[in-house]
Amino acid sequence: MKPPGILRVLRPAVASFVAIALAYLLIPNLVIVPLSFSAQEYLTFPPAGFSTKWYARLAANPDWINAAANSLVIGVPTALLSMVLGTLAALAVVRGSLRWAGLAASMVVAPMMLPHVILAIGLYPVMLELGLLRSHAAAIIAHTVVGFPLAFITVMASLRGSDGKLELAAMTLGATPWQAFWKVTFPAIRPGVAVGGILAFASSFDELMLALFLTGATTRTLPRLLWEQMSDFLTPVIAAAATLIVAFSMVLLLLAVLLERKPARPREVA
Amino acid sequence: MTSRGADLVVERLSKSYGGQAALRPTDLAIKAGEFFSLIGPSGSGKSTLLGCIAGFVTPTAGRIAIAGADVVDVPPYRRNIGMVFQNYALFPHLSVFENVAFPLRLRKIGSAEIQDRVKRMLETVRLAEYGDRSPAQLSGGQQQRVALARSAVYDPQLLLMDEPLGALDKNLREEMQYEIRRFHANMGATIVYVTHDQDEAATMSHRIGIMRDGALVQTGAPRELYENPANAFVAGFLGEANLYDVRDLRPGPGGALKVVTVDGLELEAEAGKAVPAGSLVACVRPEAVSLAGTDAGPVIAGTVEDIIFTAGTVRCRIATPQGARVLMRRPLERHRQAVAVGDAVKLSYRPADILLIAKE
Amino acid sequence: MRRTAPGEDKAGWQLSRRYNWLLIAPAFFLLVFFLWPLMRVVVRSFVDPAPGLANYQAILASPVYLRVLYNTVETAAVVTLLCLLIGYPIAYVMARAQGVKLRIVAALVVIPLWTSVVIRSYAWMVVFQRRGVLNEGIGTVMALFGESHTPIQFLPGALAVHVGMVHIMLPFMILPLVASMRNIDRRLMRAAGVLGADPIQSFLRVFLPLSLPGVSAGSALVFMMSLGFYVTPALLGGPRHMMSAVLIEQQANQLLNWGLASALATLLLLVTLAIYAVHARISGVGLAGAGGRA
Repeated sequence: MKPPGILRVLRPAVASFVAIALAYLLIPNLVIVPLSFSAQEYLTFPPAGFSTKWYARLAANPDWINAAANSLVIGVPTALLSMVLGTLAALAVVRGSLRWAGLAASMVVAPMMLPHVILAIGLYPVMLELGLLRSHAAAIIAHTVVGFPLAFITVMASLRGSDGKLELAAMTLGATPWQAFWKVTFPAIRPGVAVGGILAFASSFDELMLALFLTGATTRTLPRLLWEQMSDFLTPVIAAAATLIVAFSMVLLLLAVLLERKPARPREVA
Repeated sequence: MTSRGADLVVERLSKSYGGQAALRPTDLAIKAGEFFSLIGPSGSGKSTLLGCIAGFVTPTAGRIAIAGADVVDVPPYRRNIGMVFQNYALFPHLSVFENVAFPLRLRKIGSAEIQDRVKRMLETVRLAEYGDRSPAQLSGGQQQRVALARSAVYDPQLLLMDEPLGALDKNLREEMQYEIRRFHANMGATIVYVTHDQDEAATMSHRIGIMRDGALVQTGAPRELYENPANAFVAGFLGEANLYDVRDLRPGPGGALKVVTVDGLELEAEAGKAVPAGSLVACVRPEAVSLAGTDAGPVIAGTVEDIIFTAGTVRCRIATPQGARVLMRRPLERHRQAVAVGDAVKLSYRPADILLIAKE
Repeated sequence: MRRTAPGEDKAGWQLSRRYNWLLIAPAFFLLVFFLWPLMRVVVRSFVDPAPGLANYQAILASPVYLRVLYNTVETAAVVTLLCLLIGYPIAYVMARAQGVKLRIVAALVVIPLWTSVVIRSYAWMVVFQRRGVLNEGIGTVMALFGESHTPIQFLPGALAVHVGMVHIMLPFMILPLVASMRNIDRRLMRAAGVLGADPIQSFLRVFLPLSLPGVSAGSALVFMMSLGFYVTPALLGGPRHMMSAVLIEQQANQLLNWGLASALATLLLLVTLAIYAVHARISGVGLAGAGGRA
């Protein structure tokens, strides 16, 4: 047997390693926020002085407002479409009797794993032929391809967690299959569907490659504008924009967490 | 609130999956108001049969009639049956009250009447105080009572129960058995009850159907099945039995029938009873053998090999010189001389208690 | 007799056939907007600008392109290894943690996941630039010892790319690991202890082997996603540390050399599929399952 002395060294070593690694995960967020309040023109750290002028400049630039609007106009339909497609696919895979359910699941998840650049250069000519290139629709479709697997996964997880017999029980009690789904199954998977939608929105909100190929000057999204600005000039305006985007993402995250945590509360008795 | 139950008739009903028979052509007639249990090992087809009656399984062939109406093509939600599931299948997002109200709301019944009927139903299952609770806050037994209430609140003529007590521990199971019997007496609905527990089936049912390999082997009242099992499987499944493969039958002394078993045991059986064709098995219930007193008669000699005490009962396993084993069961009586392991004993039995039944 | 576990013989009870039809809409969507575009890419690599293998010959003949392809796989491998080494202890702690501790660790793992990749790469630029956080920090420490510090040029460079990519991929390693570790029955560790294994032995002989499905799922996921990285290498890597996605974007979007871009994309697709196949072979399960549990 090994001497227990090793453990006395190992435990704190692992603990401090994990603490450092977790701190590393936080660095970017800790860098950007102070930077956005810097008083200086160029990029330094730690920032000298406090100023909100970058936020003022951000608000004054219609490009940022437009890009934010585009991100929403693309993100919200992406989320809705992803929720519908992801739920349909999850129901078929989990509740159906498909012989190739495993393969179907892998196919649905595949777009999430493959490098987006491949999809981007493949979708470009397709969108061109459909006359959708540089339209919001092109980005919505492309983002749904990579976003609905997320909804598929969350809905699948909540379907696995809910008892398939509940629908049978509802039917013996007189519910048609349609009623059984909406009154019994849907309430059980609703948090999964909602979280899937939020995830799909977040993925669209953060997506760059497909936007680079498929959006145009009037439809460009926030990540694309950030990217363009970053290549051209590095000013704390970007940090200000980034801070706002991060703040917005954190609100989304909080929403997703609250939705998942929410216990199944019984309906109040009338 | 007594509703007369419906009668159920199953004719030549069968189901196969890709050529493999899950249910062989089966006939069954259950009377209105009867409590009928289906028992058998898992995979014996009892769930398939129940699924066909509920409408979850489309039979390959055959007919099912509830109260005279053919229902094979009727979906589950139009059959007006009630069903209780093993894991209760309560809707977790609805309160106890709303669970019970669920079938009534689907039937578009006025809310005043719903209030009234659900309340009365919850009182029947002694859960009147629990309407506001979430099912997850209840114990297993309470959840099953909610399931019972929910399945019966709309007065279905036929109640199906799929191992409803399977998830409960022994004491609670016995309490719930009583509860379900009381419930049946109140409601008057026909009940088809699936279980793998033969004692439970015997306790509760008017009649039992024993299934094996997708076929109904025998149906009858519990006592009838116990005393006249159709074959060795039924004898072994329902209660304990000493079963011996028969090698030979020959006339014995005094007009009796001498039974020679494969493992060398010689038993005396009553002559003149009908004996089934094919391979035979001699069946002796453990309580039909006892330690021989002074009276003469047929005996089995052997050595006590093992003694097991359970509450109120003693089981002795006796090995005969030929190597056969005989299980003897008798009530535990205090102040009676006990046998010990290793004792040489003689067992007596009445020839009438030696049953000659079909092996298969 | 059919051999069935209890409950299994009720599989026939699912009214499942109508659910199968629900796959039609997603399948159609994927066919038109995923499989069809992928096929177009593969076909285009052989026919644009002229039918033949010219694009692949061009890649094979060019040390620059080969270097990029090699660099892509190497970077993905390094990032995967680093993520595994850093992620495993975190996952181990997270899988055992409960209550507030669990919430804090989970938040620290998940918050970066929800922070834009573009923004995070930008942040690493701020850290690694000539007068960035890192150089200033080193300078401050050196000044304490009375030494002067000439700023090190981290950008563009492999270190910055690795740090930035590991940061992005770490949660994708940790979450499958935690999922598989949570499935490990803790009593097994206690049983190993009773049988005479010290904590290190029971970790190495019981816990580690049982966590391998998570290692496989997490590594495959990180490797595949790393292959397609664009933002981080483009921003922090520069031309010497270029990765395939950057080159493909350049060829297609800027140089309009779609045939070559398609050929590069086809190769990238092949490598990705190969890694998926290896993972599927090892673990016998798809990533969908691992993702579902994560």
